[in-house]
Amino acid sequence: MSFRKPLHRRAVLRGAGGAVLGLPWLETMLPRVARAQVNSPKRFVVMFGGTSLGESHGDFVIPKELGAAWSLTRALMPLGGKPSGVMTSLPTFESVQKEVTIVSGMRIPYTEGGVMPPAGRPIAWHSTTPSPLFSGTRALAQRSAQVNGPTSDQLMADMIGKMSKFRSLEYRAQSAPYREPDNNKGRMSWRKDATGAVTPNNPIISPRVAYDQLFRGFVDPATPAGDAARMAATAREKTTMDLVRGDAQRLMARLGPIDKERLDRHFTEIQDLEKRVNAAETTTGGLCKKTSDPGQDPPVEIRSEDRSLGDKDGRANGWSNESVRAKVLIELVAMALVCDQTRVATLMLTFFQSFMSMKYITNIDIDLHDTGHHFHPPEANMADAIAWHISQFAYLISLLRAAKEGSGTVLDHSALVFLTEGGWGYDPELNSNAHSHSSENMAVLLAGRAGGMMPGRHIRAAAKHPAAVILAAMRAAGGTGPLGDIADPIMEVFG
Amino acid sequence: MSTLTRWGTSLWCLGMLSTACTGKIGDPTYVSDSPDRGGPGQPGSTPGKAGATPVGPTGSTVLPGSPGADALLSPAGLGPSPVRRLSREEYRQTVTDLLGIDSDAFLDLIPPDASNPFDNDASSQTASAAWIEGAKAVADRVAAALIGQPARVMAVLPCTPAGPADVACLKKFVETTGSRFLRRPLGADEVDRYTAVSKVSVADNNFLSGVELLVRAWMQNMEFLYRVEIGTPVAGRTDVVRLTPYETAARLSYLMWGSMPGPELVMRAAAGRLVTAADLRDTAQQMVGDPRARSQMQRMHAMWLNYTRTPGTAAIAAALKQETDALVGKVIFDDKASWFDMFTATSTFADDTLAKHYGITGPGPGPAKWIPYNGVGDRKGILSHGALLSNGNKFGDTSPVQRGLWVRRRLMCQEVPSPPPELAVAVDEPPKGDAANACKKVRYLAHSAGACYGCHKNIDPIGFGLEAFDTQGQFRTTEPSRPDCPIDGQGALGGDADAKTFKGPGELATRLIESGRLEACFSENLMRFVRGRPSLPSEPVSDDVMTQRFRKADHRVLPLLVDLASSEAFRYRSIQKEVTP
Repeated sequence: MSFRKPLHRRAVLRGAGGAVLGLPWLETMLPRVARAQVNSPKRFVVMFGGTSLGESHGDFVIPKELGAAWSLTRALMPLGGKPSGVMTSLPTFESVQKEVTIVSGMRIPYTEGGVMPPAGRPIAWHSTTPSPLFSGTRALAQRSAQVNGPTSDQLMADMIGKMSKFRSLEYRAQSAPYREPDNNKGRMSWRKDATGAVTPNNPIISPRVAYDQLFRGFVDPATPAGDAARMAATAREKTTMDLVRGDAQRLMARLGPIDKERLDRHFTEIQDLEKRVNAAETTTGGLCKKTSDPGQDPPVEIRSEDRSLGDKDGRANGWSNESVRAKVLIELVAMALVCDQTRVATLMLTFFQSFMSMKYITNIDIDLHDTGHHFHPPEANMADAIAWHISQFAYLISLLRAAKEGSGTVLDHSALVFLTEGGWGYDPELNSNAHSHSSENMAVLLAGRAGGMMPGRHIRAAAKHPAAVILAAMRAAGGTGPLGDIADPIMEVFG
Repeated sequence: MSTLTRWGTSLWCLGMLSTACTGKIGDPTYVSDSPDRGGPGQPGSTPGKAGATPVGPTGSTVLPGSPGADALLSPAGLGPSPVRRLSREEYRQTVTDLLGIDSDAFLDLIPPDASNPFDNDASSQTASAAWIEGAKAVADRVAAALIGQPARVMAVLPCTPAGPADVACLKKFVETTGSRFLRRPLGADEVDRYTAVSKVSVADNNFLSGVELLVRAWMQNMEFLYRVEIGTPVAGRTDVVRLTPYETAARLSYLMWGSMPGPELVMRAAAGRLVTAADLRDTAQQMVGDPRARSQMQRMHAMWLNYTRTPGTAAIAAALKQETDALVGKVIFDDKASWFDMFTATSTFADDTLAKHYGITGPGPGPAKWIPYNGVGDRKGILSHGALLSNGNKFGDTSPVQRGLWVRRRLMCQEVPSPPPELAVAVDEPPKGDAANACKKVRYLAHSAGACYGCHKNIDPIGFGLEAFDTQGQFRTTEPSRPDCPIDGQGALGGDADAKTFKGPGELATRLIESGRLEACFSENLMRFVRGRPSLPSEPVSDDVMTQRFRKADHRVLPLLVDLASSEAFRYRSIQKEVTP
């Protein structure tokens, strides 16, 4: 029934003396020399939060000091492994401050004199930074969260991800738009399809699905080799996918060109799924093992703000326990990198203009977007909203730092980028000088030592584009640029 | 037996069974093709008796009560028709109809649909690993749930298996359930391919192992997940294909019911009784009697007018949804009255809780009943429902601007641009300083002059005419916590000399009806829902044509739907590439 003969990974492992566990996906196809070279592969991760990490929320966000001796602000407190005023589902971990570089003072330029600059955005604020931020390309002239070029993760997937079981992984913690649905506001990964069109690479939202996808075929070495139930289940899975793929193939052959083009992506995804189902089992060992089972997904709940709290409009927002969802997804990203199941990942924590409720984070019953408006003072609330996002990034760093690999850690071979929707300062749409709806004074966090990155510092890159930091991280992880219109990386991150 | 029971819930099905179905229950309803071909949709295929019908535009079907010649009478009339994936709701309903399994608990494993405002927009259905993995997760769970319920399994199986190796029974299951999944008869080779799964049953010593595996596979089958319409070629035409009878059945059922064709519909397809306009008219007329047709129209209205989610406590939210669904159902299906009646109704479906919420006299303890408004609070029609009035809030209260925009955009289908950036208006910011303490009427004076006036004269007065109703539809005479800010509820539609004043939802409805935009906007949204995509700048069947038809039908929705379903255009598919609007 199966149309291909699976490679027998265990046999290969035995042949290699059983010393190398967690081999990359197609590494068995490589000559022995090449295998040695990829023993510590480079990894590239981009994380995003739909908030504004800006320069000048008083002392709440960006530290005053430059260089290595910067202090933790209220928003950055989680980097110190310290409790900040917010509720998360994360365990405690040691400070990762020394693993993080802050690059601040950057900007995404906007239309002036009727001309939109390269990697720029229109004057309108909402939904207009995704394209310049993720792909270094201009936003559309009208208000739109559409991304107009391939994003850094997809460029990297082509450069360093092709050998992995997963070319890239895309996850999102916020389960739903909750209000005024615009799906593009919940997307951060886009790629060029066969026709040259830039199409979204939609994230997996369900932690359950993400878990089952990543750990499909993972086998504990302690499991008896002849586990009949497991073998039978696997065989049925393969037979099922053989039927599904075969049916899809027969259908595609009957379709006209327009229908074929429309359904091509689905067909390709089915083929990819079948390959994963048919893949040889991954014998876990060392640090590579299944993370704890997340159980059922927290329910997706759309709710109304509590109007009794005054100043609220009772509009819809939502909470699907994103704290738990983020924790599970971060652990999956970390384990996917440790086990070398992928080398490229994106994790979107919250949407652009996010309507996720802050009730279970800051105990204030408004949504994240409203938190950015200073009519919900004090600024400490905004700093706390940022802190929730930072804590997730810090947790990923801590997990990768704890993962020994060769003489170092997985973190040493990674380039991790943390991006936000905006910064702080002038908003041309409102002609306001002090606003979170601004792409002035943007900051990006970086972690990892891949390619000689030197973390632990606060660098000012005045008026540079945040995508230039991403480009530096791409280089660090073994990729090349440009990223859209951005050709010059911020080299200061290499020390 | 339960198969019959499940289908028998629709009254029209029972009548048909007596005439069309003489076989025993569980007989395959899809007619299998001859063994030498793969399935319908290939050149030369002749599903059922449809082959006897001339292939090509008949040109002879002028519909009673329809304009003499419009594009609905031409095969390319519906315009580009991108392959549509089942929406999550269609998927849920289909799985319920097919297997009797409620998949609701699993559906969040699949990423949600975009709302545009409808959930079936093909252009927003981008495939992804997230979707494919999610669909697999749901398939695995639904199949396991089916196998875990012996009664359900027995209802789906057409035979009682004699043992794990009962190939004949498995084959029957493939021929019946497999074709219902794929919405067409299976080719002999396909039947063989699926029946080969019998070896899994044998290896497992359990007949149901094969059944479970097949259900898992079919639920991930692209022909199940997508509404594939391959059709048959039309002589002399490269721009259209004629739908096979089975594809016509699916198109009908997903339009009318948001679900798969039932066995009776399939029988009509197999018997060559879904070919002519008269066939389709007769079928469509019977289909609208099914409860699923009612839910489909209720859902369409809720998505269009943005009340899929209603405000308030759980009890109020549920009562509000029930109220509006009841009115939509009553006007369209029970009274078969003018759709405008929805906007002018003088009574509403409420229980004591909702009546108290509205400040009207309730029906007494017990379930909701139709009760008159008796003129309390100028209430009339759907626009005075809390479900609809929950649209357009901002900064803790109703927003005359947001409500005005909602009326313009949703009920009149008019584009209203955002404020131009050079005005640098803080639309996202609540009023500050003096403005924060001013009554709304005073605050909004800022819109009555200068650059703002040009647009806002067309927007704000609409909202002010609804101001006497709060964000949950409760009547009021002053702004919340501001007894010093009285609300007069006076509004106007149209910003210039021709502006017509109104007070409250009932009078607004009258103004909207007079404007001619309301009926046009319904037609436009209906067609968007039918096509599964936004209208293009030039459609063969323009939205205007549909509006004329709506008028000719005295604004009754069911005749319009039946007209559409029995039109020439409905039986063909345009295979031109869609042009981005």
